[in-house]
Amino acid sequence: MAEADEEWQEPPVNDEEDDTAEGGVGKAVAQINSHLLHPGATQRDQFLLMRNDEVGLFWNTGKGDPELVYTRQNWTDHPPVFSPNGSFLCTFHKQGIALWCGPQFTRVARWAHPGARLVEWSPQEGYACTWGPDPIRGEEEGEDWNCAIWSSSPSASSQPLRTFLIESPSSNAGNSDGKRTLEWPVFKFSHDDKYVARMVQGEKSGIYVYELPGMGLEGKKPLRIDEVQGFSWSPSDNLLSFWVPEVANNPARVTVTKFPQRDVQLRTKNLFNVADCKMHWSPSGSHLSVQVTRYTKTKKSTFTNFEIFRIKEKDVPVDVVDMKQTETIVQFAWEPSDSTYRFAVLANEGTGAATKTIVYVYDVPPPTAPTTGAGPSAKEVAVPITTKVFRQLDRKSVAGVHWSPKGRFIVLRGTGGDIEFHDVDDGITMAQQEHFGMGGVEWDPSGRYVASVVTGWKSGLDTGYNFYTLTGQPIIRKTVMGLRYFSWRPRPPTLLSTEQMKAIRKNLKKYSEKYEKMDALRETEVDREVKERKKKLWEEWQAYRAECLARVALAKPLRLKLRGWDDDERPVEGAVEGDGGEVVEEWMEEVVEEHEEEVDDVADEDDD
Amino acid sequence: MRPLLLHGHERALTKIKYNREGDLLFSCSKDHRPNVWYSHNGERLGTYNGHVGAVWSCDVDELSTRLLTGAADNTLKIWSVHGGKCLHTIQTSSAVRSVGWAMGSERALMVTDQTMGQNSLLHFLETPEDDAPSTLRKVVVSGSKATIAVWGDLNRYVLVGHDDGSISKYDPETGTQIVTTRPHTGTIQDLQLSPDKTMFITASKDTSSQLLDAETLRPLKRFQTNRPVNAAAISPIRNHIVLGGGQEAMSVTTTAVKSGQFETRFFHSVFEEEIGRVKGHFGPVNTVAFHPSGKSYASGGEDGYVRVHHLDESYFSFRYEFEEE
Repeated sequence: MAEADEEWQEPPVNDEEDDTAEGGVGKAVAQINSHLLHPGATQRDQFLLMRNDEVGLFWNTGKGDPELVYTRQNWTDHPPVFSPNGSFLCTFHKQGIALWCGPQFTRVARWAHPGARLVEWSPQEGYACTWGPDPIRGEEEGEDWNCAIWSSSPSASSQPLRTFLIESPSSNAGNSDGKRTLEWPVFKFSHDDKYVARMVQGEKSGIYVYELPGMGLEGKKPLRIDEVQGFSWSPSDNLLSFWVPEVANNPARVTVTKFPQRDVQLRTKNLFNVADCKMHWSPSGSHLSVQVTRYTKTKKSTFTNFEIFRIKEKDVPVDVVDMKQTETIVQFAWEPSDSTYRFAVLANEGTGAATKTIVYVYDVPPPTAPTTGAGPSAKEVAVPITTKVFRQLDRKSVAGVHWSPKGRFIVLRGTGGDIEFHDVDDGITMAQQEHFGMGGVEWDPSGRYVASVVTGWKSGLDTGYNFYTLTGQPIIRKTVMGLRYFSWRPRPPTLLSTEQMKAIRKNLKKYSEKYEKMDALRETEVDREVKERKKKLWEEWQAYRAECLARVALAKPLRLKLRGWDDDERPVEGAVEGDGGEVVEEWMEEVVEEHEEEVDDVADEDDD
Repeated sequence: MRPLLLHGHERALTKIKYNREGDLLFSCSKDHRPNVWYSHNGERLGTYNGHVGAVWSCDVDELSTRLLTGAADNTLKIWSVHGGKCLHTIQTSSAVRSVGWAMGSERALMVTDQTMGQNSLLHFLETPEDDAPSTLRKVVVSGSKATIAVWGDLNRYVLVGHDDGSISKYDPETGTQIVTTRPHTGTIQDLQLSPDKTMFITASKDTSSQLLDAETLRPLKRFQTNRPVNAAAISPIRNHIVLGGGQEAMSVTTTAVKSGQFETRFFHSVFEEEIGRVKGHFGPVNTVAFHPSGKSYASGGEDGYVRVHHLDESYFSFRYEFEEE
């Protein structure tokens, strides 16, 4: 493995081991955003395909065929993964994971984790956690590992920051159902890349928070919580939420706490008859929704409600949203938006063929500024239920709800391949499409295009992808034999402030004019290329056919010798140019008039 | 235009063939009776009764006097086209998969199946018009078994399609293999020459079809679909090819109706682009043939129907930019 330089200032000029390197690691890292600076990137997004053993990166042109950016055979053993901002591409190999970036996809790092299968990136792309099913022998006894934390910094050493042995699901004793699978991600990174945390259950149960990049336990001790069942970081603040189940006579608890100020508990809520809790932070960190599954009184069935923690408000009031007892919750999804606070809930009602799906969109009131000073605390005043159903869509069967990354629009993915494009603001269905066998729907990072994808492992017949506009108008349908994986290349968050965006929206016409011009230019260019290619094909074909016909003409005496006649002597029926086709003669009989006449017998006799 | 639906077979079609003039259409199927039809109106002239097994292949000579059929009853039969009378029968040791007349009709060939310990054989026959046929030569097919064989230009060679997707050329005089290539990864289901015999088209289970130069076996063009291709034909007048296929009959029941794709597809043979699809069959399309005039084509399906399509005026007026004919 190439020695990574300790000093970033002097990157190696050439990585001789890497055939794709053009200018080496340093240059590649320096050009890490090259795809965003590309003249075509202003209005376009890239997507990645893996078909059989070939990985290809393309521009979505938004109209016709995609443009190839980069392609490589046998690049990776498993579908590659982009880092959250799209800077790095991780490929999977027997020896571990390789990191690629820059315009030529130069390899910038190798993480020696043999058999690694999963990667979880930190939100700022500074670190990543890898996991593989097989433990790797450590240097000393008891140092075996199958999970490691790495730094993506080019100056980092090629060694993991720290390794861990995560008990494999099968050895997870004490689970009655025995079906427990690995809960990924095992390690969760805080929004600012400062901490990475892991939940430990059992005797030393608690949340173990490590400081990055040193990977020492923050405060030299874990956050001890008995019976902790789940935890989650806020996506915008150093807040931790976690829950504990009912133990003995104590109710179940959901807690939001500041970190590293461990004792500042922002809010705790007691809950009863809890079977399970799932925590969903809103994308801006303004709300935490806890999906609580509870037992009914008989304990025979469960039902669900949502506890909406209004994090940004004084004393963190909690709204409660109850679902019907007959409804099973399939999916919960916050709207990715800064200005509205909505979430979609996908619920199934009924069983078997009578199952129907209901898609609810709830509207949470925006956070009010925390009032300072005196006043009744939230604990004293009953919190009014303010989260309301905004839309209710009754459907036959929906497998998934997909919010546009810019909010407002949702795509409902049907189980049979139906795709519905819905505008939540106006409450209208804009379009319905069908992509048979479709297994996934992916919004592009700009929220302007939607891809529906059919992937399959070699056996798949109709693998491919379709693109639609956000209103559901089809753009292209592509069959890609052996398509294994599809992914848009993520973009970093916008650098513009809300005010700047508003200003742009105001002058949208001015901007769009510029980009439309660019689009038109590119289109003419593409048209020209296509035309030239076709012209070349046509000329080659003409030359080939002329050669063939000359050969056929020369062989005429041979044909005459063989069968005594040649084709031109016996024309084919209907082959004459201008012959409009078959002339069908049809006799029509029509009775115009009918009358009886006496004919005398004499005439008859004469005839005989 | 509405297609003509010819319903004279009780089982899946295996092969359809126009005579040289195009006024007659011959069809054979897994039921035991080949049919002959007027191609312009779909009226049935008659049947050829005598086989006792699925008829896999047929070919009519250039003068429309004699019909060759090969069947799973281990026989090849020569029929009088006009009278429907069986003139001669040749008994073989396994099913006859493919039959074909040589130019001039004094020779013929057949392919027999590799089953029950029998090798896959190429039989070269002498077929004088007024006498009983005789076998000139039997050639053991080397490599993968043969699925189809066609006489090449001036009877100088025979093109053989194989089960493994390879195509080879045999010398009919010596019975030796001249050259072999493997353009496909799945069984060659069909192999049809252009009317001038300079190039040919293949249909393969690997879901693609290719146009190859008949002299050199050089691949010229490739047409990719997403279903097994059972049949392919070259338009005699336009730069078009037509493909028939679809989900295999045996797996149809395990998939939804919509995904069967039992359509015939037209491709532009120069630009390799799909230009149209014709729906109609409710099972895979097993065989396609262009009328020698290029004005119509027919398809035969697993559903037992033959559909004769007279192409619309718009088909003939449609042109690509560089295309002038």
